[in-house]
Amino acid sequence: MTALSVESSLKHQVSGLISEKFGLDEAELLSGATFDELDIDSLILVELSLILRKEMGIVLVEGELKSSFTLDEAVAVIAAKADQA
Amino acid sequence: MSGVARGRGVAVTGIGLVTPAGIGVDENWRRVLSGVSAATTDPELKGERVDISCRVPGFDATAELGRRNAWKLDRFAQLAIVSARQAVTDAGLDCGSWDGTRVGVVIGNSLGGVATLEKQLRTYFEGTPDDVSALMIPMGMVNMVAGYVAMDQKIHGPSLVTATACASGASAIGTAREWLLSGLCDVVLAGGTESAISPGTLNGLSRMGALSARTDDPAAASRPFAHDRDGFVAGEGAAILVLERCEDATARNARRYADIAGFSATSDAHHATAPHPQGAGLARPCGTPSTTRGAPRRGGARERARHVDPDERPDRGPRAALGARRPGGGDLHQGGHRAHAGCGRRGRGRVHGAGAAPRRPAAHRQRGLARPLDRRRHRRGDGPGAAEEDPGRREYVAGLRGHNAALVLTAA
Repeated sequence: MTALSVESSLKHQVSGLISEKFGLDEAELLSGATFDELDIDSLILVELSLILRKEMGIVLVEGELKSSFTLDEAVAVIAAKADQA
Repeated sequence: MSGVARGRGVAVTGIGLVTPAGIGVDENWRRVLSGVSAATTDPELKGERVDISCRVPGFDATAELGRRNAWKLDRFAQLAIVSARQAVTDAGLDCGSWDGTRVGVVIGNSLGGVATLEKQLRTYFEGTPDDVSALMIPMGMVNMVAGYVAMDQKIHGPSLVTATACASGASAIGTAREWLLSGLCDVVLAGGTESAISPGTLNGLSRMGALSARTDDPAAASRPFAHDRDGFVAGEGAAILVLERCEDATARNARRYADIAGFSATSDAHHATAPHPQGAGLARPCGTPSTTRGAPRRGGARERARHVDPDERPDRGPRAALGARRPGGGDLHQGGHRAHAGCGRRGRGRVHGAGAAPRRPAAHRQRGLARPLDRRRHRRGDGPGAAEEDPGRREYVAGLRGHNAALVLTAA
């Protein structure tokens, strides 16, 4: 797979997880809204990090995901971590 | 209704109920009248010493609140939010149009989100502290329910949780009354919520000897006034009232279910779990209702008290305090004991009953009733229209650690 398609696949995996765990509509997530706008606050981002670690083995340091991020921005951070792993 | 100063009290204009007897007032009322116990074997308590409870049947938090909100809330908050919504709608009010700065919320609760705490603490003690949810504390703290109801109903006035064990709901209603009479608020949502049916909590209550061990016959387990009672059945639920000053309710032609004509509160300062042997703390709010402006002082009173110590007679305190009057007896059997703060709902049943409805039956009233108190007043205020003759119904509630609260309810 190309880097782009890996990231695209990761994006759908992450949006699927967020949708499943936090009850958000995937279309909303993919719309380019920031986490803030989706009511995903800093506590929920801690939950998201926990889920990413448990479900995907990706370990994020606290604060790496920010509530000002869009899904794309978050996926870029997560992809970089996945590459390191 | 001589002796009651109309218009000086606080009126109940909306009722919301989410209890083991059903969701919504109508469902609750029908079930209460049926006399059928809500206690049942609880699959989530499988293998526990006491595995019976009274849960709210068919409560679907995701359907009620949306998946996006439901997962962030412990059940004690979920039940309260749904109950508050019902009450506001029932009162003919709308949080989209009211001045939220003039609205308050005060809810009684005792144990908060213990189910959440237990689950997360298990993770912690299993040696994986990094797997503990960041929402453990916000889901667990008792105050959060008032905050979440305020968010849901756009309430910007005071928000508070009263934690006085079994007296929590009555304390909340009394506090709401004070907020209204002082002019702090124009509308207050007040009541109680509890959902603490978790294995660890029930084990703790069982270790106290507080729970009935009649697990082989759940429907017969709750019998607080019977000679052979052996404890309570844990229940859950929420009940929220909308309260307004009587003149405001009348001015907007709101339906007044009943008035909260008086409130008082005292403390036993005696023992952690046992009531004062002479019911001293209970006698004072009953006998000297210092804040019961315009409330009747005697006659037609209907008293009720409870606590969790199975070695104590449920009526001992009030009997000592009040002489030989009979307790109301009734819905405590049926819905279980909403572990502590459920007395808000008990007020609800009374409020609804004050509207000249038939007296509801009590599950197992006939089964070995200790009948320790005089039955002479049994028929007073029971039938349709009887509330008009009844100058006031008092609700006395005693909580663990000696909190006592008394409310005077009068027909509107």
